[in-house]
Amino acid sequence: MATSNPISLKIAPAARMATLACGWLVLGYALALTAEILGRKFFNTSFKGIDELGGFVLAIGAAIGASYAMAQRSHTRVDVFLVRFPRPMQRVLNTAAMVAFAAFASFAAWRGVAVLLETIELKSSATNLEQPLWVPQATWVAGLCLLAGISLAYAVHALYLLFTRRPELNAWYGPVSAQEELEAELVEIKARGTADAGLTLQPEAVR
Amino acid sequence: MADISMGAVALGFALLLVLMCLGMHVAFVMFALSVLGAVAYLGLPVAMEYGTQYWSANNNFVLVSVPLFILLGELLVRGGFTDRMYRSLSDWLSPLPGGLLHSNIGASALFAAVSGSSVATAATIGTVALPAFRQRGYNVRLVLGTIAAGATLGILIPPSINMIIYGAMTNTSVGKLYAAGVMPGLLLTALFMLVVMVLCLWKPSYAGAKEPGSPLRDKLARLLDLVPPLTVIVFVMGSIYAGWATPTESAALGVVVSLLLCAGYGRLSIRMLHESFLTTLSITAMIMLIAAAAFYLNFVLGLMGVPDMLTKFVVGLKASPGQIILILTVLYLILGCFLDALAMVVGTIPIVFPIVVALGIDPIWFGIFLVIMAELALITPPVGMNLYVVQGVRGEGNIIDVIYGVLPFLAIMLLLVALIWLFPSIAMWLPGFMAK
Repeated sequence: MATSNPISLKIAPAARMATLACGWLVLGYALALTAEILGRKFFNTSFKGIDELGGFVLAIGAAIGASYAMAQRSHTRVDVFLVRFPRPMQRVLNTAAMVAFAAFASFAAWRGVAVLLETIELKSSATNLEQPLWVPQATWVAGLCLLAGISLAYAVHALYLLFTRRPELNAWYGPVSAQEELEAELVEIKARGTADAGLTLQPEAVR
Repeated sequence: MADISMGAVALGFALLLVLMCLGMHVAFVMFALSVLGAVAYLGLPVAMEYGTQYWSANNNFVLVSVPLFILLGELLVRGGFTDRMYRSLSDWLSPLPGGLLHSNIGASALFAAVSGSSVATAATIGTVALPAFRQRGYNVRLVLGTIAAGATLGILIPPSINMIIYGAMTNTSVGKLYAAGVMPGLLLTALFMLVVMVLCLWKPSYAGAKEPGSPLRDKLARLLDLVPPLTVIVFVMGSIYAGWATPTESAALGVVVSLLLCAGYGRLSIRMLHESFLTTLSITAMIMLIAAAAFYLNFVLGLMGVPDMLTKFVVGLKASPGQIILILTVLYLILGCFLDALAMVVGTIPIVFPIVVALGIDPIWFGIFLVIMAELALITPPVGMNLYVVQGVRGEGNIIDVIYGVLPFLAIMLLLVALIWLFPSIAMWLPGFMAK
């Protein structure tokens, strides 16, 4: 979603790259899992531990994708009441939401590091893969730390905007409105070229 | 360990709702409530367990199907297959009383069978369908209603992200949930179409003027446009029901088939793949953050003995399962007016699921009930996401038209709840075949 938030503009390219890498990981996993189904069905071979690998792919993708989703303001918030409050109150609540989220993400990162340290100390390995567990876990923890770092930066920025009475606060840290979400969706649909389906999209029909 | 009272649980649930309504992130609210409960009743060490719980909620093979199904849907939409599908379906459904209105419902149902999301369905079908209705004299409210309500089928007809999350949280078989969703999904599609027919026979002015269809030769040629989505459905659902693949594996198979289809039709490009990846991971991360917090809430409430306490309380009321389901229906209708559908489902499972199971209600049946309630939440004002999406695509008039438009369909969905309660086999018949 287009934003002029300076912090989002700074981190978006890096978060985007990391998220794209995870996308390839997910696609690669889909191919591997399909190969496993075919191998099991037709060649009587099976790659033990592929489900374990899937869990790692999801954990890593979800942790790293969370930062990208944060930069896009995609994490779910209920906005029906919020948008009806007076604007000064919205400013306080939006700041509170960012600070609370930063505390949540930091706690998660801290406890994630503790899990990783325990894994390293106990030299745990993945049950079926017989590979050290710390490798996927460290990547997952890196994702958690990235999210914590980004949300801390957002929280500090929101507090700064609140106390310096800057007007951008609600636009940058409010929930994404249904209208914004829709516009993003429409841009995608147009980019896809509905026209080639034989149904010419009339611009006025979608505003 | 201090015993927890009924009042404390009610207070906690009220706090959950208030914090959500103040615009705090849904994941944070569930996390905060869990930590609060853990520290107050169980001690600090349990709160410190968050890392382990987080890892096991993230590293979950059942949930791996979430990104895979989202990616599958993205590939099909960006490949342009859904737009063509609408055109072909309208060829065959338009002769019914109500004409093009049936295409909205039929296309939504078919799209639902390859996608687990409703908002994408509403935006896609809405954008393709609305221009087709221009200057044809259909009743505007009914047009909007069929799109907004039809799109909710996305989560009832498998695959369904809501069913995957429910299955993972309650240790219920996702394969059986999928099977259980098929008949109610088809029944709801048929009921939606029946309502359109009845309304249009009662007031013929609701439907636009009859128009000559395309020549049969063109219609037959366009049937080919149904092949790609049907291929994906056959591979995904077929592999599960033939026992070849688990739901997660079938999702991977579906991704590969969609990828081949995109390549075969010359729609595959790195740019299109990258856009699909970004949407997929963004939605996955959003869902997983909430899911992880909900798993933790589940864990903490379990240790606190809340499910036991609530179950004893509800059993003590001597209410019949039917009365409890009736109460839950009303409760979910109200919650659904204000909460996001997924937040509503995962936020209430830790409290409601143990009660329901103790009353002897089948977990699979209850999963279908919950999904229908989530569907209702998508079209009940003021926070029905589908209402806003359809109104936004329309870009003129007032959202009141969409709200009036979905009313007949809301009533039909409540009728479906009553039907699956009175005739549970509507949901339970197909999964029965799988339980060998």
